[in-house]
Amino acid sequence: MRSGSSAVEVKGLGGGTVRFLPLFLLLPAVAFILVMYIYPFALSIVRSFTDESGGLSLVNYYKAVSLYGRDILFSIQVAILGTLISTVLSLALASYIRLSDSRMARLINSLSRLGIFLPYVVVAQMMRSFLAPHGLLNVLLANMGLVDIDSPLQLFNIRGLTFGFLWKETPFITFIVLSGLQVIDDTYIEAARSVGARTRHIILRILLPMIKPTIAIAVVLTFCTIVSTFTLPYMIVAGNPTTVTVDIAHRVTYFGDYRVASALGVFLYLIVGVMAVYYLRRTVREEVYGY
Amino acid sequence: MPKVRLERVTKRYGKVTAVDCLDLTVHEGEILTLLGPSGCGKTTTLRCIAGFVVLDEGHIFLGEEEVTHLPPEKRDIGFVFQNYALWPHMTVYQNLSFGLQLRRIPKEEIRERVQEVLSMVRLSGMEDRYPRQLSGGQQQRVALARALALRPRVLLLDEPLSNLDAKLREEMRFEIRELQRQLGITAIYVTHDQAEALVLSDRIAVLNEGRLVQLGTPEEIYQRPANRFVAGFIGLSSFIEARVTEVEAEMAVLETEDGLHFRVPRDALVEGQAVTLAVRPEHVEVLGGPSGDLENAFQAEVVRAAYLGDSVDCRLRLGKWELRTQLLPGKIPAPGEVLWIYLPPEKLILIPG
Repeated sequence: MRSGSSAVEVKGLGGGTVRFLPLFLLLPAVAFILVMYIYPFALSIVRSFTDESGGLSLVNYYKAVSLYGRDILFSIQVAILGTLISTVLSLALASYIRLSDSRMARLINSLSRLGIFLPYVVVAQMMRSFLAPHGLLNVLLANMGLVDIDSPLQLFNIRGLTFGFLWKETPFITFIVLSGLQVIDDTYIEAARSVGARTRHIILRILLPMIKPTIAIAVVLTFCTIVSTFTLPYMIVAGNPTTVTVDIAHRVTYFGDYRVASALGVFLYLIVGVMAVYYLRRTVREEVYGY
Repeated sequence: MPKVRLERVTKRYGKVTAVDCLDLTVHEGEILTLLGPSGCGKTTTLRCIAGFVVLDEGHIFLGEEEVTHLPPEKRDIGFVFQNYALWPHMTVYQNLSFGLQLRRIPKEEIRERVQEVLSMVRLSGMEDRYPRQLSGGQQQRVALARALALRPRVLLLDEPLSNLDAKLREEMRFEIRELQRQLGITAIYVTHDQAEALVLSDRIAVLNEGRLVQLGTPEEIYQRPANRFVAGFIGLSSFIEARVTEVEAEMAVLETEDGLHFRVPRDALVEGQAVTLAVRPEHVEVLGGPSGDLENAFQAEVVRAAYLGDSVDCRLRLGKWELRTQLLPGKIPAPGEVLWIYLPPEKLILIPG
């Protein structure tokens, strides 16, 4: 064995030196990623460009856009709306919890974590009974005189879906943002107060800019989750338009049409990919360059 | 004229009383240091004045105005933090101008004020740098400039030099003192470093266990400590317990339980009174040989000696008591060696009890 070599060297059966042990150690992990992620991903892309005869074609994309173009836009719309509103709500909640030491703040902090641990299917089930025409929300609003129970709010549409996403994602973003806020030393806040900053200045000019990378990551993860969630839109949205994830399931379940489903999947990849690239660039920049 | 007045200020954390019924007055244009060991309540007191901590009892006045219940942002106070607390996402200019913007000062005036304070702290040209691009000393200066840019009624400094290296700390002491004098600003400075307190302060308030133990000029505190705690905390002191056995016209005689006799100025001593003698190292004179009839001259045995470069720190055994002295560098005495020492009566500090 050569002295000073950084590579791990192992005597082979034939007496030769094998210097690939690190690669062998990596092999199971790499193989798992290749088989479980890269192969299906590549397969779905190839399939999306293949017609019934196996030839290269854009027919699946033509079908996807003509049949489900409205749903693609609907998915983007829901994702943007859900991400935007839940982010704003989360920032307000997390800032309140960070700056207040009241019992109310502690209660909200505890309650807000509940949603994180509930699976989407449970949330969807809850939302079905909560948002139904004669569900809890409409009954509540009717009792308050805000809604006529004979013509209740119809919420099994984009409004109900967005509400469901808010219910599930707001705690998640709050949790991440609050983690970022809690790392900030109190002296930064006190320094702001000592120069005359009020609560709104402290939140908008000091705290949130200091955790901009954390917020960006929370936004990206939430957006990607909303775009790729199937259960909630499947159980909440009645009829058209619906989300691409429901369309994919529908295409596979009822038509056995994997090619158009794959084309729809590619649209999802593109939507999520833009955010994923941003996320990766942000995390790499932070981890490698420290800013 | 009092600029800051604390009346019976009390702050408790659970069962612990951090500040206990503190009365204190800071005069206009002076720099007063709150000095004491960790946990003595000095930082809590400063935070009470700034409004970061709500009092349990007492009142705080800035000039004539009571500010006890005013939030920090309305007190018009500048605060310099131990960790500087510069906002990392803002440049130096943005850090300095933030408070001025909140006060809706015109942009041009903000620019002038920022330039003015930056030049005061010798950081002109650093406006566009971020805090992470500055050294510790520069960050400390920016923190000071940020507090000064607002021209506050009072400047509060919470151990601002403790994160700097020893050399820079020494330089900065003089700079802060000079700046405070130039501006004539009233300042309250918190430190546990006695040298810093002695250099910087017009007056020092020594705190212990949340209470004010002594208030006075650096000279008063050092030369006439009010009790054993102050004598031990400010400067080095060796303590000898004795009782007054004889009172003459100008002098008194003290005797220790192991039979040592000391002659000291009479002051207000009465026969039979128990006193503690505090002896500063620099007041122990080492004689060349036997003292003859010199009073307060004793033979003492060297316990150990340590070479410090510019001096030798020497611990001596005098009867049952241990004395500390500083010798000029030269021959370092060996443990067990016997030296003749002289304790000048007028230099001995008498502490009742």
